[in-house]
Amino acid sequence: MHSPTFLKKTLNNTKKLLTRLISENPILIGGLSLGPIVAISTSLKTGVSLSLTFAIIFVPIIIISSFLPVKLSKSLRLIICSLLSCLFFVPALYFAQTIFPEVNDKVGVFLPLMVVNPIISFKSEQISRIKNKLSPALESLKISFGFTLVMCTVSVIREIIGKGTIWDKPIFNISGNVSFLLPFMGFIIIGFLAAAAKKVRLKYYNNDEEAEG
Amino acid sequence: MQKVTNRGIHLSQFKEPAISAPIKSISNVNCVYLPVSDDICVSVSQNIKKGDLVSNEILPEHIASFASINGKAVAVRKFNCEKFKDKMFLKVETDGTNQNENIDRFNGREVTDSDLYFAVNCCGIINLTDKKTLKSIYESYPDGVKNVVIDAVDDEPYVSSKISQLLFRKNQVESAVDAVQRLFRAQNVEIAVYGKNGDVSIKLPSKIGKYPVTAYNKTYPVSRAMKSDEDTVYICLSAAMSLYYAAADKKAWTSTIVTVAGDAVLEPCNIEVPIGTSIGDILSFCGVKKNVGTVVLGGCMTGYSVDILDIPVLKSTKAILAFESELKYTSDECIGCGRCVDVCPENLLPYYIYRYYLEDNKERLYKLSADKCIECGCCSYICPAKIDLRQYIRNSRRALLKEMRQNEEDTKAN
Amino acid sequence: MKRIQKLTKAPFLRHDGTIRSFMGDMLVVMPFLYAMPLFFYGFRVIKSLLISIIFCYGSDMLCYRVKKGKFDFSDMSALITASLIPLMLPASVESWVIMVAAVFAILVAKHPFGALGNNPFNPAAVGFCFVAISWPEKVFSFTKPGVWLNVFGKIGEDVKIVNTMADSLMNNGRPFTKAMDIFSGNHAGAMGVTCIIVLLACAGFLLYRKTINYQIPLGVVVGIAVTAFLFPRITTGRFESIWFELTSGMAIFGALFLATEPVTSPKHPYAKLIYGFLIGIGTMLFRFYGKMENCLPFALLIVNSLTPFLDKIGMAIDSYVDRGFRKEKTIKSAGGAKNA
Repeated sequence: MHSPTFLKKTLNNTKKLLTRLISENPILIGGLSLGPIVAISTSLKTGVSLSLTFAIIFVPIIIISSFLPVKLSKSLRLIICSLLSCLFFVPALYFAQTIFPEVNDKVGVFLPLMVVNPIISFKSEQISRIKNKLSPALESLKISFGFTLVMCTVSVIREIIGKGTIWDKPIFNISGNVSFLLPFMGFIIIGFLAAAAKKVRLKYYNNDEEAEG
Repeated sequence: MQKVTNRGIHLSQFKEPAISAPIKSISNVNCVYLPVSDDICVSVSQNIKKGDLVSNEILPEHIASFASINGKAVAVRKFNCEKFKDKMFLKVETDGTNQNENIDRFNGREVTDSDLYFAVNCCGIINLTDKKTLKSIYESYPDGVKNVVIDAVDDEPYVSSKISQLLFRKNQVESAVDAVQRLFRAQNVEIAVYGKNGDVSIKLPSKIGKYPVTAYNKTYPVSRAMKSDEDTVYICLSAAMSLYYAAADKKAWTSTIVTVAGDAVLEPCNIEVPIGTSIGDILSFCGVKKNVGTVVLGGCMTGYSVDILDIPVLKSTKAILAFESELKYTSDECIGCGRCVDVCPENLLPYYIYRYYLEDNKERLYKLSADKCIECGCCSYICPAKIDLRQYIRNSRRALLKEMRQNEEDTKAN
Repeated sequence: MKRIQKLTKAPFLRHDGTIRSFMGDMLVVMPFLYAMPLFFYGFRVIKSLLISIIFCYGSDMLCYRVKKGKFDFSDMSALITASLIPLMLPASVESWVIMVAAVFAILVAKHPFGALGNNPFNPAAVGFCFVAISWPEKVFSFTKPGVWLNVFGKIGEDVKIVNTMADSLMNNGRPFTKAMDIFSGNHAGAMGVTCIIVLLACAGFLLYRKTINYQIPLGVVVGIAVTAFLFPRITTGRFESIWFELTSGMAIFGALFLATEPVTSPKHPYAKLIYGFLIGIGTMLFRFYGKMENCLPFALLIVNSLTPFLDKIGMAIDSYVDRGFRKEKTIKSAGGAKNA
């Protein structure tokens, strides 16, 4: 029933989508929202909880802001987006506190700070400018998957080398190197991942009009 | 008077054997190429005598040009080399009546004040220390000036065209300095020489007539850092000599003294030639070995390397150097050692100017004062990675001056 | 990237020194710095040096291979970093600590920023700081000099760990080391930083060859001395406080060999003095409020990030003293070229 060209097309599309996750990542290529990532990604549980919060806030906001009029001034759009994300923060907080209750102290103030994440303002601005090219739902899912990917990768690396545990279960009885839990190693690891992402971007993008900011 | 600068580099001078040989002269050249401006006064195939006006002056680039040999004007041509890109030259072929004129004919000649004024106004004398005409310098000091320093500094290696005149033409130098003192009504006059000449077998005089000969500092650069102000005027030796000879002869002086040196030259010496003689003639007069790798016009630090040997010698040429081997070097990337900052005599920061020039950032270049560079070449000399710093800073300086002039015109138009 | 070119533009005369000869000056001095540790601690010192050299060179070659450039064996900057790292660690440290420090120094502090000439942070200091944060109990436990340690493996159980001078100062006590012992290095401390006479002699040679300048060490010494004079940690007099603060920890070694690295330090003469002074004050602040003994590399890294800013300050001072820079801020505000 599915002709072979249709299968190839879907495989090709998925491959493109997966590389787009890396080569259009807002953190690795855009350099946005480095603060929460460096501070929180010391263990996998906190990382997952934060990225879940972010995803729950982000997806509805982008879908709503694609309906806002284009001629709205920048500051007004920013205020409206922040107020709306406060509205969506309430279910997100409830969700995070129910699923991961033990990491509440460590995550602390960074959960409410997701409301003013610069990725939200940047993407809402971009979505309203470029209409009819991107479907907002797909874009928002791609961005939040990208955020989760980076967060979890950095968390896994830092937790394994820093503490010797993964998801709070010790592996191989090694005691970790304490310096990986400090912020400077977070920045260094993100730097190396950004270099790898740039290489992927250069390799898979030959023409410039496909690449977006 | 004041010492010029404390920074700079120590260069080993290779002044022997050219400095100890007496000054030779040639006058029976076949043809000369005279630099002319757009306003030419002679026509093609016209017979001209030595000292005739050939082209009028169009400041600031062209001064008045005079014929240096008797002959016939043949054609106007250009040269296809980097130094004389857009300049025009008049080819004059000799008619055989040129002969050597003894320099001692000037001994005992009296020079009146009106002769001096004639020489300053009509004989196209240019002061090589600051590239201004002697006439403009004379007019900018209407009440005379307190100190005059005669610039007889030869701070580049191999070059000794000024010092040799102090050694072998003392009487003429004394009369010339007298003339300059009368012209500027100066109270103190002194002659400045370079303080470190290496091992030369001939001794420099400590006084010429009643004027002291003082040694200026021992680091290069000296002459490029001499700047005139309201109390002191720096006049180069060739301008003083041209003034005296023009006033005594009542026509323009059209010869210049050039050092011919280098390891490919058989008999290095200082030689007096008519302006416009081509380099090839001079080198064959002095004798040159078979394989010549590089020919440099000017000093080692601030000269040009030339490929064709037709190029004429001008008033501002100091030396012709011929080397056997082709000069090569391996260049690398900047390692950030900062030695260029240690040696710059103007206290600039060549390291940063180089980095911002690569990014083409004109605002930063302005803040770093890139246009105050005197192009001495000290930073290129000392760089361990052998980067051509002088060239890059020169390009950035020209771009910056262009931008500054553009802004000035814009503000005037508004 | 090397290129062989013909000299077509002035100047046609060049200085004899190349990059290789300037680095060679520094490398000539290194064996003399290792002579006293060899005398005190035995051949374990040589093993540390060899491990550091192998791993620094290895990671350098790996990075050049990744960048697809040719590795030049006359590029000896990795060798200098490799020689400096073991001198800051104790002689009794295990091999893998030196390995990690060497690899981290080259892979993280040097190549991501652009290799030679472009690194903003001193690689030897970065390597030391990383291992000092990760394993402080291994990096700050020193043995008594004069007892030769075994070459391979861990040191024996019978070798005592003693307190250094910096440790005594941290507890507000006056160290009992005599002046002769301080000069010859006969007290516990990091391998290369205790023998003051050798350090001063090597630095004198480098100053004569103009490889290092005098302004930065002067600034560091003035910074430490002023702070030690005003806020002494011991009670037996201010001049004794200056003497002990200057000769403990790695103050003199850091001032002469770490801080004077030409790539990471400012280029303007006035800015160098300010740079040294800030490092001196930073070191004393770390000693007052920190928990570690050898803390000059940490202060050095903080001040390294201020290098271009200090150069701008130097230029601003020059423009007021009228040494060569102008006072107007932008091209447009100057109102045109007055002295074009």
